[in-house]
Amino acid sequence: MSEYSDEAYLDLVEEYKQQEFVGVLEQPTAVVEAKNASCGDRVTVAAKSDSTHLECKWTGQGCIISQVAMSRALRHVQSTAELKQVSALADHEYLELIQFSDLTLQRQRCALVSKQALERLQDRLSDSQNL
Amino acid sequence: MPLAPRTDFPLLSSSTVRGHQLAYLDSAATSQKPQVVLDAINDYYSTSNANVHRGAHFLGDKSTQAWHQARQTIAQFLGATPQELVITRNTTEALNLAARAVASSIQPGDRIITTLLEHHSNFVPWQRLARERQAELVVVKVDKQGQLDWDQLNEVLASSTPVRVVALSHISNTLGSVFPLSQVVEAVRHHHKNAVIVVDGAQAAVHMDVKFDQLGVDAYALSAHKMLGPMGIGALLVRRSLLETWEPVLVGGGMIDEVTLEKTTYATNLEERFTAGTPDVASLVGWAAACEYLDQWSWSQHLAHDRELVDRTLEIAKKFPELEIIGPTDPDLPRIGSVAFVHPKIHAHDIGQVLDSVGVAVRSGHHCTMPLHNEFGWPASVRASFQCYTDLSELDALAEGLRKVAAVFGNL
Repeated sequence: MSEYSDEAYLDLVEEYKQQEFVGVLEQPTAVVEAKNASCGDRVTVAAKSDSTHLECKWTGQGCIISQVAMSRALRHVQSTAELKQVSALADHEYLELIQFSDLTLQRQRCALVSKQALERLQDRLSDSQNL
Repeated sequence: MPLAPRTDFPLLSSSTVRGHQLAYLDSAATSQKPQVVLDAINDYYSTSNANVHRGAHFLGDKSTQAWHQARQTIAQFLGATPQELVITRNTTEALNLAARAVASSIQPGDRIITTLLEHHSNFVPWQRLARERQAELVVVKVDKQGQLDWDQLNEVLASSTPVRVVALSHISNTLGSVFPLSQVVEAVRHHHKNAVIVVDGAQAAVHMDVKFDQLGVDAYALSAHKMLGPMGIGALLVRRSLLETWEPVLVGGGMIDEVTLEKTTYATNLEERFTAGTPDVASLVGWAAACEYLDQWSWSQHLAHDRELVDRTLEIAKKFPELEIIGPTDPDLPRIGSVAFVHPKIHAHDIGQVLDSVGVAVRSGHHCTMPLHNEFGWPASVRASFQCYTDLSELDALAEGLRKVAAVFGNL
């Protein structure tokens, strides 16, 4: 994606307009925020979970990459086990999972805002389970 | 036609990006380097490399001469003396040095004044210093055109609370606006004769005639890499009588008078006193070559060329009705070096990426001015910036790129 065709970008714009898992949760178990300090991209993820089930909703603002990345990532995080697995990936593995492996280094930071949020969520949920 | 021949710049004359001729509109982030600068650095290492002020041998002497000659050239270019030129790694280090050097003079309750549009390098050091010394940091507001809130500044200056530091930029790296330094100096001195006035000149020194001895300020920070020189070297110009009162921030090799087990006295020569450790001689030599290169043209030629680029970019941006140009648009207000804009729906990074796809390099982000962006609710902005080598044809590429942005994001 370091070299966008017009078609690829148009597809991304369409995906941006139809983001998944957007919204807020009543009485969430945890709420986390993450941001890209270089440009103000930010996402807030709320989760409800028990030992196995996980439901996430998110809101955010920022560039197309940061927002589409969050939407794509949550497709892979449908249980606490998946959250643990996805949040532990190396950055390059994570970018591959969410089909953003060909970004420039600067744009990788936009996509990785979503990973930062998932890592924080994993930390928060494991803290709350340990209590 | 650009002011400086494109063929003088190897990167500019040879580079294509994704099949397009490179349009490099990110010179405010860093400038490209002419061959004479690259040659000067290479020649130094090829013919003169040895440590300065140390070995009593031929090469040591040659290197020391190169160091002092370069200091002389750079100081003269900036209207300062070599004794007033404290070499740093960059503007940020220069401003941190200023903050460290004045720290002991700040008492609890004193005021440090800065402005809303400062680069973080001229904001964070003062914010930290104010916290450490229990002083008050006063941030003078600016409007969207980068014009100072004089009512606020005058009110703060008229108060009896001591103002120890006034830190402001010469040209805004985000808005391209120019602070009227002489008016600020007059207002500050009228009320607080001994306040230390520190200027961030990173964006100014390559576009306008900076003559330190005529500015009336106490310290002026700048970086070589913004003015056709190499990265990793910059300076803080400090008024000599003030510098003589400053304790060196870095201590160690090369800056001492005498070291015993009990105590150390520092070199009385200011050029040595503020040069701790082996300096980056090659970069300084490269910087001096950049100053000589820039000196080929008068400052009125530099400014006229820049004005043409600014006006053309403003014209282009105005053709895209949703773009909000930030910084001065009133023709009576100076704008130098850059034009930045925001879009209500399209994030700056997305604009930057589409522009990159047609070979246009711009800066997108908050440009290290988060307080300014937050104040006006801009998450990030896109900035096109210019240099003596910038050609109008690069602005045609920008216009083409913006048309592509409009097409790609048209129905967002």
